[in-house]
Amino acid sequence: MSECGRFNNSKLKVFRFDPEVKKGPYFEYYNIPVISENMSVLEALRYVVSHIDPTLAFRDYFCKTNQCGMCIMQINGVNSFACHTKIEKEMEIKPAKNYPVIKDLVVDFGKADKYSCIFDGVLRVYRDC
Amino acid sequence: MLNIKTDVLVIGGGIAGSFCALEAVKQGQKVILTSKTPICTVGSSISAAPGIQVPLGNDEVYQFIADAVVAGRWLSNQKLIKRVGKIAEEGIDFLYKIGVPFNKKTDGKYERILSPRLSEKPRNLNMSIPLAGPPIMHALRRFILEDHRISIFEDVFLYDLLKIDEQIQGAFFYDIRRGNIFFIESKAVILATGTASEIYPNNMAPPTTTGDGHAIAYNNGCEIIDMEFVHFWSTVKRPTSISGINHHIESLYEKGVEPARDINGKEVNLFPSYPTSSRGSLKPILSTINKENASLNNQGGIFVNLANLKPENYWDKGIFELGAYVEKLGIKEIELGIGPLLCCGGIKIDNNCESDINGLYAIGDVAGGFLGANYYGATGLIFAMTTGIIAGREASLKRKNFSSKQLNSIVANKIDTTRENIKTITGIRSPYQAINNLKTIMYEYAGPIRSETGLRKGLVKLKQLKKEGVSIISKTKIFNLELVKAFEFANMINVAEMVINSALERKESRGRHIRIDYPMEIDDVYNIIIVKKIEGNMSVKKRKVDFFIIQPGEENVCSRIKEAYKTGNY
Repeated sequence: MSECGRFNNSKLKVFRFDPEVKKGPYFEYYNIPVISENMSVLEALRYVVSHIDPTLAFRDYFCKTNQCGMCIMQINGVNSFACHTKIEKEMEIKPAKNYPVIKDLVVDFGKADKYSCIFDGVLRVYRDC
Repeated sequence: MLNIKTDVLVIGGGIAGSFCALEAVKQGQKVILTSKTPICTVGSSISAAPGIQVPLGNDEVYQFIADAVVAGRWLSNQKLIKRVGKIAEEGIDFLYKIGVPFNKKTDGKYERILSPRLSEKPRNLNMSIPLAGPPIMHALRRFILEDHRISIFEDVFLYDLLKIDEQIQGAFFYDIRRGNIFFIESKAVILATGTASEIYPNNMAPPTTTGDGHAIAYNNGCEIIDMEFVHFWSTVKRPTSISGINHHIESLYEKGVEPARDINGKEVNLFPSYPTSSRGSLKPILSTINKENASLNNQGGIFVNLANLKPENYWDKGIFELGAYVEKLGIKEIELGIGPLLCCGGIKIDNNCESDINGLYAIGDVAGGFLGANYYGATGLIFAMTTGIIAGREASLKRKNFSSKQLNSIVANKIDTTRENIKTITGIRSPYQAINNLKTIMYEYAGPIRSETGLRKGLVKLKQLKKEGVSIISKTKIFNLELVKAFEFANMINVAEMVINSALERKESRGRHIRIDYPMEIDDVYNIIIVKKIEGNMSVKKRKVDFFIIQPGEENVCSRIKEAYKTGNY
């Protein structure tokens, strides 16, 4: 979390990968305005795709219940929900750990046994509270 | 080019589609289940509340029909409601069997609780966890993926249907993962594509609800009904990171949160007493917003300060949806707004869930006729479940009777023209901007309170927006979500026109359709409004409602329904 208070811009370092292009994976940097102090990473990515770079691929679904797992990606190295991770001055965003990457931040969740790992983590979130 | 053939094709991977696929497979059919996202993850089904309304036993079914029809302001399809009520228990038993933790009492019966806005007797199920949607979706996903009889196609977008001589032949899809168009041949196609509320801002349903099924069925000549009824509710407008979330303000007040206030700090009463509780907190928000034109200029609006909400309450039932985000995003204050929960209308179906096209079925939120003029709370889930089961059975029975046709050249032709159309998409703005413009137009001219002049202005602006079109920058084949957004925009603008045309035709206020120039509900005139594509144009007409079981103004409806069941007079 940011200790230095309000900031107006955020620099996102985002993983890019297009299997059609021989280049291989690389990082792209986006500078976005921070609309409110409660801006989430998902909202930031949505800003990128609607104002800066429409080619960035990520599962832009906001289920509003914190439970669907579609927005799970590696944020600063940790698998987190982009919809409830607060924006910081600088962030590194990569596709969810341990899943094959289809494109950019979109991964293949695969069959039940792999996907249920995410869901077990999600169910445990509200079972413990 | 892939030519896939199957017995039953289910389009849409929420609760409705899942139940349909499972039922059809139980009837021995080959089933394909498609979804534009991973199945059982992010449709409207995920926000189902734990207090699901389920009638158990004949007495409760009679009362359920009466309540549902009254809540729908007498416009609902009574035969459909009756069929839904009768098999609701079957769906719940199946969910319990696959691990969804409904509470049961020591005698093995389901625990029942009251829902404050609905019937007098407890008729809702209960769970000890804050939300019902996620465990249901997770359990269904696991069950379906482990049932290898169902072929799953994820990340495929329904592009069009194929209909020959009023008989369905199959559907065309855009494969999001590969960027190509393919065709699935089937004589029984079931649309389970969800509602269309994304045409408005502050959508309380997920952004997948773009009305794809509505638009594509309409384009193929189906009747679409009740589109003027959009169930608006009180939701969060700002911070924009959580706009559209269900704030359950009553639960917040219970935990000690200060009352809502307007921009001048004056307290706002969100619960004036109204004859119909379904209009609860809508009017004061509307009047404040209309008065002050709330905007980024901070000129109006209603605010709720969350300082008194304690961290130990964040994950309580009723607070959970908002509380989780309050904790993680550090939210201290929310601004309330109006957003759609769902559209009550959809594809017209009979009580076998079949549309006007032979072999084309519609289930769940995309089907019209169950809700009528109002969303009867906590019933979305059983409607999705039961219509899924009904369509799964009916489609399996019917498809055996149709002969095959030679489709190869028609299919190849259509795929080639589609590829050309996609390459030549031209317009002046990006699909994201076009969708934002659409939402602004719909809220301003076809929002919760409507008028003739407003609706006509909105229609003109919509037509202009449609003419201006969209342009795609992204040339990639794999996961080109900009192109998918363009397809969704095309569907959404058609749905928006249906909403406005239907709203213009209904010259009264009924349920969730409020017209300032016709503020009263007109008695003795019970019509549904239908839109249909005739010779390329959107035609609008009325049809009188058939009161199969109960009539408006009847006393003692329950015994009347019991009589009808006994004598078979319905």
